Order: sequence, then C-alpha cells, then structure tokens
Amino acid sequence: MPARVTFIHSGDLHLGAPFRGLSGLSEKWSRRLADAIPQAFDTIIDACIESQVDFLLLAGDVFDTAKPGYGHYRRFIDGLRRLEAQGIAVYVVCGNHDPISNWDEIAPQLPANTELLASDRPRYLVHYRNGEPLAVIAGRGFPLYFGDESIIHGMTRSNALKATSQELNGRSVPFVIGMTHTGLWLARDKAPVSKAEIMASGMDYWALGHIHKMYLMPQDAPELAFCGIPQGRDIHEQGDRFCLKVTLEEDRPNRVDLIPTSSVAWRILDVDVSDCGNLGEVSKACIGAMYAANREMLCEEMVARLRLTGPSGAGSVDSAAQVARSGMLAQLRNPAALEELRWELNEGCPSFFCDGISLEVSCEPENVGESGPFAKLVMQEIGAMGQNPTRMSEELMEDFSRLGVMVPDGLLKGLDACMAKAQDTCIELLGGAGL
Amino acid sequence: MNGAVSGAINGTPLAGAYLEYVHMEAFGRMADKLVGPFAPGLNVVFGGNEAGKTTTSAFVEGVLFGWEDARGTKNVYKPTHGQRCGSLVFALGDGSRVQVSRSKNTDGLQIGDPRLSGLAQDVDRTTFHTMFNLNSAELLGLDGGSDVTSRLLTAESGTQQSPARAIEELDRRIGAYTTRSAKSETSLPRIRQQIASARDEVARLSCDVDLLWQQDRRLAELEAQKAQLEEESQYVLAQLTEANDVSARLSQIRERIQAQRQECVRLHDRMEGLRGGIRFVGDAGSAQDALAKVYKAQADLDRLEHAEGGLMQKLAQAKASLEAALCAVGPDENNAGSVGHIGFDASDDFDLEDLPEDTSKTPVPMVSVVLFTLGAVCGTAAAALLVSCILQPHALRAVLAGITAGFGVVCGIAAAHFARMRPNKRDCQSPGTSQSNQNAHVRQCEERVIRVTRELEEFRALLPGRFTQMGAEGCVSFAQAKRRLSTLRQEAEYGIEQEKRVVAAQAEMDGARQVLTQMGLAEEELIAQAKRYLDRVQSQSAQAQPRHAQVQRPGNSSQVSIALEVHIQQLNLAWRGLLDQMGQVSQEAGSLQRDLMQARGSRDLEQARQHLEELKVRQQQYSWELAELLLAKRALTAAMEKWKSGAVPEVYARASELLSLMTDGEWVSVRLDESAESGERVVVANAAGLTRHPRLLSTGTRQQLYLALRIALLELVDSVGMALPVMADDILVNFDDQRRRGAALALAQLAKKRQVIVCTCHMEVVHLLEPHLGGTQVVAL
Repeated sequence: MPARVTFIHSGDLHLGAPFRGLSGLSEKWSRRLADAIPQAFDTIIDACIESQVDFLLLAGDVFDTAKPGYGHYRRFIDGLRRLEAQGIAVYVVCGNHDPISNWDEIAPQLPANTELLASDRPRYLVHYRNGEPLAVIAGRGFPLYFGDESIIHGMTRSNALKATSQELNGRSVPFVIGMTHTGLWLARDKAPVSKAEIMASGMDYWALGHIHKMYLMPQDAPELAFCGIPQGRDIHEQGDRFCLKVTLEEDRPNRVDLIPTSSVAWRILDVDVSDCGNLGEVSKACIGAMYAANREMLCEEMVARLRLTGPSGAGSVDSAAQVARSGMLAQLRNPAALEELRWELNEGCPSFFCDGISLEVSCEPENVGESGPFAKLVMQEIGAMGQNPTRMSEELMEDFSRLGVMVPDGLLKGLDACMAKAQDTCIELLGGAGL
Repeated sequence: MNGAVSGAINGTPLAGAYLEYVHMEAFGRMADKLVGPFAPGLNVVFGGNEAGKTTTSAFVEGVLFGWEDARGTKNVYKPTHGQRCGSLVFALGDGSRVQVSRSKNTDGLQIGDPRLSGLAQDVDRTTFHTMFNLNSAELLGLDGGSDVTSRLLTAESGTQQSPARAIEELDRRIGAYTTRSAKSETSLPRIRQQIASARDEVARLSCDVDLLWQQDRRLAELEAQKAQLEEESQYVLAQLTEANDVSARLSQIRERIQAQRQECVRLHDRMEGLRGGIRFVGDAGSAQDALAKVYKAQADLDRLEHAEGGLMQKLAQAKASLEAALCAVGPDENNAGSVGHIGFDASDDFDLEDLPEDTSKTPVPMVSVVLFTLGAVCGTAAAALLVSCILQPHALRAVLAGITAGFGVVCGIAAAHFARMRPNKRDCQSPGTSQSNQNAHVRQCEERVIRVTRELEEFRALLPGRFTQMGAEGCVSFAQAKRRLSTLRQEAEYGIEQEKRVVAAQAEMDGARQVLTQMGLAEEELIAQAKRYLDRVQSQSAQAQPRHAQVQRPGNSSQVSIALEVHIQQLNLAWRGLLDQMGQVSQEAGSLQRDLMQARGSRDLEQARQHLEELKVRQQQYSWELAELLLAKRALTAAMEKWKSGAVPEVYARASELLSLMTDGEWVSVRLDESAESGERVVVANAAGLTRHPRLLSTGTRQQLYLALRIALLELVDSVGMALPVMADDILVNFDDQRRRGAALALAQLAKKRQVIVCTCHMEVVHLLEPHLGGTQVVAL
C-alpha cells in the first residue's frame, strides 16, 4: 500500500493585526473584526481535527506584532492544545512579522505537540505515524539578519535525509516536506529565492508563507504553495480565504483541497448609478450590489467599499431625468451626503460594513470646456501642473509645511489621481455645486 | 475686457434696468419714506444733515444683501418698534417696474419679477459695499482690493459661480482641514492629537499585555506550586490518616483494656461476693455436700423418728401384750408387770444403719456430671468468643457466644436437676414380736415394756446428740429438728444456686481475662504497627521526604505512643500549614485566573490598534483631500491670475486717466508696484515720473486715487451688477474745487455706463453736477 501523508498548510495569520484602510468603524464592527483573525485560526484547528490530518504546518507570521493581545495569544495556545489532545503535531516557522526573538515569551508555553523551527539554520524533524517515520519536515524561519545566502540554502531532500539518517537508523521515510517564509521571486524584498533553486531542492512539497495571496505551482499538482492569508485584512485582500489541505501519496500527484477560513470577506464594488435619479435609488443600487456580491462568496459577512460609477452627464441637461441626475450627482459630490448614504447602508445591512463610498463620476473635460472659458483655463492650469509632478509635489509639500500638517504618504505617486480629483473639485465649485 | 465675456451680457433683462424709487417702510427713523424717482445715469440727492442720505445708501445695501446684524454700538437702522422692511422699485427697459423688497433676512430678497432674478447674483455684499456703496471713509483705501478686483474681473468668466467664490469655498474647506477647532471633524491637527492619544493608549495596553504575561507566568508557577502542595498535602494526609488510625486503634484498645480490666475486677468482686454468700452445713466443703448432709440428716431423722415410732409401737405392743398377759394371768400378774414399764425387745434393737439410706450418700448421677462438664466447656467457649468479639467486633461471633453461653446454662441446669435426682429410699423392715407363756409372758411382757420403755427413753435421751450430729443443734424434738433441717436444706439449696453462680461468674471472669489477654496481644500488635509506621516515616524523612514528616525514632514500645502523638501533632501542624499555603495559593491563583479570563475576552488592545489604524487612515485620507483642495486652489488661482492679466492693465490705464482728470494732471499714472510682495501694491506717479505710495498722499488725493480705481473697474465690468446703482455719499467733501470738478466729470463718465446716485448736503456739489444731469435728476430729501 503506497505511503500517504495528509496535512494542513497555513500561515500568515497575523494575530493581533489591525484591519487596514478602514475608517469610521462602528463599535460592533470594531469588535467583530477584532475577533475575525482568531476565528480564522480556530477554523484551521477545526479543519485539522475534522480531517484528522497528520500535522499542521504554520509557515510564518503567526503573530503580527511582538505584543499580540493576551486573548489572541491564549487562543493560539488553546488551539495548539486542542490539536495536542487529538495527537496532531504542529510545526511552526517564524515570519518577518514574528521573528524568533518575539517567541521568547511564547515558546515555553507551547504544548509538547508543537515544534518551533529555528531561523538561523535549517532544521530537520522526522514525523512518525504509529512509530514509523512518515515524513521529514525541513524548515527554517525568517531570519532577522541575512547574509547573501538564500533562506533555503542547503534545504534539499538529500540533506534532509542525511541529517536525519542517524535517527532513522536505516529506515526509509516516504516524504520530505520543506517549509519557510519567503517572497520567492514574487516579492523580492523578503528572502528572495529563485525558482530554479527551490525546484531543484527535491522536496515533495514546499509549504511557504509571506505572500498573502494563495499561489499554487503547478496549479493542478502543486509542489510549492503559498496558502495565502486566512483572513483578509484590507480591501486589497478581497474574497474568501483558505487554508490548504495537502495530500501527498507515493506515485501519485500532490493534491490540495481548499478549506475556507475567513469569516469576513472584503470587496470593492462598482455600483452603476446611471439609472438613479435620486439618493434613494442610489441606496437601493448599493444594497443590490452588495447582496449580489455576497451571494458569490462563502462568507456571510462582508466589508465593502463602493464606487459609484456612470457617465457624468455634465453639460447635457436635455431632459428632466438628466436634470434630476445632475442634481443627484451634485448632492453626491458633497462628502456629507456620501457619509449619510454610508450610514444608511450600514444601518440597513447589518451583515455588511460599507467602509467607504466614492463617487467615481468624473467631470469630463470636453463638457467642462463647453461650460465656459474660465473652466477651460482651469483645466489648462491643471494640465500644466501635471507636466512637472516633482515640482508640484514639492510645492504641495511646502504648502503642507506652511499649514503645519502632515504630507500624505506617496504624494508623488498619487499626484496624478489627486490632480484629477482637484480638477473635479474645481469644476464642481465653478459649476455651483457645493456652494 | 474679455470680448466673449462682454458679449455674454448683452440682451439680458437687466440691461436698461435702473433704480427708480427707494421706499423705506421702516428703516431707522424712516417710516414709509419714498425717495425718488431716480433716472438712469447720474442722479443727485440733496439734503441737509440728518435728512437721510446715508440712511438711504444703507437701506439700498440692506435690501439687496440683507439687513446688518446688530453688533456693538453700530447703527444698523433698526426701528424702535417693528422690523426693518422696505423695497426698491426698478424700472426696466420696457417701461415696466419691478419691486424688490425685503422684510426679514430669513425670508430673503423678494423680487417681484423673475426677469430681475439675477439682479444681485454676480455681486456679493462685500463687492457692493466696496465698489458700489461709496463714502469718503471708504475712499481712503481699497481694502481687499485685489480680491474685489478679482471678483469683479472674473464675475463674467462664463462659469455658474464666480472663481473668486470658488476660491473662497476652497479656503473654507482647506480651513476645515487645518483648523484646530474641535468642531471640525476633518481637522488634521486634531487627528494628529488623536493619533498621539491613540498611540499612548496602544502603548498603555501593550504594557498591560506585559503585565498579563507576567500574571500568566505567575499563574503557571502558582499552579505548579498548588500541584506540589496538593501532592504534599496528600502525603501528609495519608500519614495523618494512618497515624490517626493507629493512634485511635491504640486508644480504643487501651480504653477497652481498661474497661475489660474493670470488668474483670467487677466479675472478681461479684464472684467473691457470691462465694461469701454461701453458708455450708457443718464442715461440708460445698453446698452440695451440705445438701447431701441435710438429706442424710433428714433420712437419719426419719429413721430416728421411725425408730422412735417403732419403739413406741413396740412399747405399745409390749404394753398391749402386758395388758393381755395380765388379763390372762390376773390382775396381780397383770400388776406384776407395770403397765408403764416399757422396754425394748433385744431382738428388736433399733439400729440407725437399718434406717433408709441417707440421700447425702447417694452418688451424683453420671449424666449430671457429663452435663455439668459440658456446661462448663460451653461457658468457657462463650467467654472466649465474647473476648474475641470485643477485640474484633463480629456479629457471628456474638451470636455464637450467646448460643454457647445459653447451651452452657441449660447443661448446668440439667446437671443440677439430675444431680438432685436420688435413688429411692430403701424400705425399712419392721421387727417382729413374740409371746411366751402368760406369766412368763407377763413378766416377759413387763420386762419387755420396761425394756422397751428404757430403750425408748435411752433413745430419746440420745436424740439431742443425734440432732446435733445431724446439724440441728439445740433441737429437742423431731419437729424442731425437721424444721431445722428444712431450713438447712433450703440454705444448702441456695448455696448450690450460689455455687452455680460462682461457677458462672468464674467462667465469666475467666472469659473476661481471656479477652483481656487477647486485647493485650492486640495492643502489642498495634504498638508494633505504630513502631513500624514511625520507623518507616523516619526512614522516609531521612530520604529527604517532605519536611512535615520529621519524627524521632522511639526507643522502646512505651515511647511509641508519645512519639506517635508528637508525630500526629507535627502532621496536624504541617497539614494546617499546607492548607494555609494552599488557601493563599488558590486565592492568588483564583484572582489571577479571573483577571486573565477577563483579559482573554478583552479585545481592548486590538480595538485600540484598530482605532489607531483608523485614525492613520483618516489622516491619510484627509491629507489627500487637503492636497486635492490645495491643487484645486492653485489651479483656480493661477487661472484667475491669467484671466485678470488681460484686464488689469486696462483698469490701471483708465484709472490713470481718471486720476489725471481729477488732479488736473498732477498725478497722471496709477500702476502696480511689482517689487512689493504684499500689502498696498498700488503706486501713483506724477507727470515727472515720480511715484508715491498712496499712504504718502494727502487724504483728498488718496480718495481721488481710489475713486479713480473704482470708477475704472466699474466701467470695465459694466455687465457686473449692471442694474445696481453706484451710491456716492458725500465723497467729494475733501476735494478742492478744482478736483471736485474733475471728480464730478469722472462720475458723469461713469454714469454713462451705470446709474450713479450722488448724495450731498452741499449745494455747490449739486451745482457742480447739474451740467451733467437731466432735468429731474435732483431728488430732495
């Protein structure tokens, strides 16, 4: 009978991390989100127990900070103890967010079933099933100080077997599994590893952490995988999130099953308000868009950012409907009106949290030009300002300095978008809206 | 002037419109005051001081832009009673009139005809006040001149809103981001403060996490300590239980031994008492012997009585024979033998040996002996069982002891019964009698009577001695002897009963002593057990067992109890100490557990971090929004400057003409001082090219300069506020005659493009302007 090993591959939990990019959270949602990441961890533990896997691999960044909340810390330990009670081993490597020094307090509390692998060098552990060696876990955590060497330097199948040969004492072990925290060639700022090096290591499977998006290579029978973040933490980590249930079987391709772990999903939703004549219709369109998006997801709860889109209609006020729409858009250009709409949506849809609504209906330059020569002159000025973004950003920095307030991050990078919005603001004001 | 803009104003309903009447219904001290009619072009309102000229100017501004709020001591023309209200009547180009009125500010400007709806839309209060509502004080400067200039110059920029107003709005919005006011939600300084506070809060909660970690570690230590204390307490408790058990059993056995000893003494006393209560007959060794002697005595007594009876019968027979012989012989013969002479026939000698066998000599039946022996055995066995039962209480043993004792008693009773059973007395044989011949016979009879009588007397004389021998001392009759013997018999029988009791008591005492012996053995065993226990404890303490088990090895068995008690006291102390420690540990652990359990459910740190993150997000968001606004303002400002750049030279050129006109060529040029970065940038130049800042000019010349600038602007943007009158309230008072003429000329030129209403209290000014007026353009107040 061919040997077979089943395990859960997860990581990048970031326990203790805040949710990024949110503002105006209600108390209820603040508490809800504070529990979402530990809840994802509990789901991973449940999956291990339900599937009765051989072990759990946590590929770094278990904690987001040196000081996670006490509740998160205890929940982590409790989860490991639940696995201990089930006889399921846990192998953990450190990530860039939770280097080995951060584990000083936690390591003594880890239950006996949990092995924290070193970061300064590869470590090789033999996992046994019923007294027989089943797999060698070759792992290395993210080191704080790198030389030029690769994080997986020396982590090959042959080295793993050699390192464990004394322990194995002549017995064969069917599988060798690598685990580390790396950006590979996908995020070269964190322990980069070339594709050639990792694929030449001879491991049966590489359990990797750091990249928050799930990545399987090859897709159908992965030999290396990033499990992705088990609970999305910002608007850029949209959709459902998973941990990987990996099955390795001799003479068979690797198999990876996805187990959902997130309880709150993130989505950016474009809401077409072309047919909306008033704010009530905009509200209905937003609610419809959120429910439609949620139907496609596994999570019942969702944090959504809405972008109201559609043609501006500026300069073409031919019909009453268009006039109404112009008035509606003028209202939506008022931040207070958007905030009111957001509040209404959050009150009306308790399962969803709308963290922001933006009006993405731009004033079209050609229409603006028709609205008057001065507006055209304004457009020209903005165009001229955009010709030299470096100078403009420097001047803006001077303005900020003069006003005694902080310059926004990435000013130069975001200047184009900022100028587009400035142009909209000018046109809005010159058009009479907001005054 | 931008041609496109100028073109945009042609053909509007406002073209040709002018103020015809001013109707002050209630304004200051004016009530239902109608001023007018006015004509297009130049008008003069003439009136003395307090006639209402300034009031009229203020009324026009108030109707168009709202009544001034009462602030300080400023006169805002509020009537003593009622609200300010009134109207302006405008004449349109088609000859129609439109009433424009205001009562409450909140009701706004009421325009009677929509054709005049744009009457004051392109001019705000500031612009009107600065540019249209002139007085000599206003002419000393042009406050916010650049701004007002911009307003005027861009008023016709082709946008729905004036760029200047757009910039105002931008400034307002920018101010909301830069203000420190708590009212502004978008205040970046406030957000920065909030971020600092949130960081402090996160730092504080992080410190709390450190504390929780310490508490967690302390709890782990306490739990380990608690486990160790529990283990120790279990050990001490086990020792204490064992020691207490041994001690209790020792105490118990000793109490029982003491009780048993007392029981033995009691039984001994009882037995001695019973023994003392037994009185035996004669030298009888026992009650049984005494009873046997009584029985024998009774038998002897019976035989004696029988013998006496026999003697008496023999005597009677002898007497009867004598009587008969005497009868047969005669009276002498009969007398020969005395009737009273009674004797015994030798052949009839009475021998006590012939009496029925004494029962005292009757052997006890074999069955009685067997039964008695059996009873004794049973009694012993019962006693043994009783002792065993006392040492180790056991129901079965108690029952067996009872049964055995009962059986012993039955055997005893049966033995006594059979012992009392004697063989029947042997029947006594009576002696026979004989007769001789009559005389002889009589003699013989007489002799016999005498002999028998003598025998009887001898017999009777011997009786007290015989009674004494029988135990009935002092008795002189058979009845007395019988009674005495009966009493003795009863006493003997009682003695037997007592003896039986003594035997039983002896058996009971023997049993008790046996039990006592067994108890002693049990005590010895317990002492040995205690010693072994103490030895074991000492050996464990020697092997560094818990400190609580220190014990001194007892030297001998008598010291065991003391050592055990001392050890128990130590154990009790240790146990209480452990309980105290466990209590303290449990209390501290419980408190920590509560805190940590509460901390487990707390999300304060996560929420504080989330809050900090939110604030940072808002800071970024507001910074970007501010950047947008700053860019927008830059764009608008730049566009406005460009827009103005075409018009401003024209304004200054015209102002130069007008100033030259008013100063009669003294000051010929008005221009911007390009070197001045801020403040008053306007300079004037005379014909020689010498420039001077306005602040260095005389009051009159300064007023002429700013009047020239205003007139130039108003001429240039004649489409802005085209239906609004330019009100000039005694602006020429500081002008000399020459310059007054020039000013009048300038006003007349302005009046060609706009309606100008000059209010004055000086007739010479009226006269000065009259050449430029129509026939009915002087209104008297």
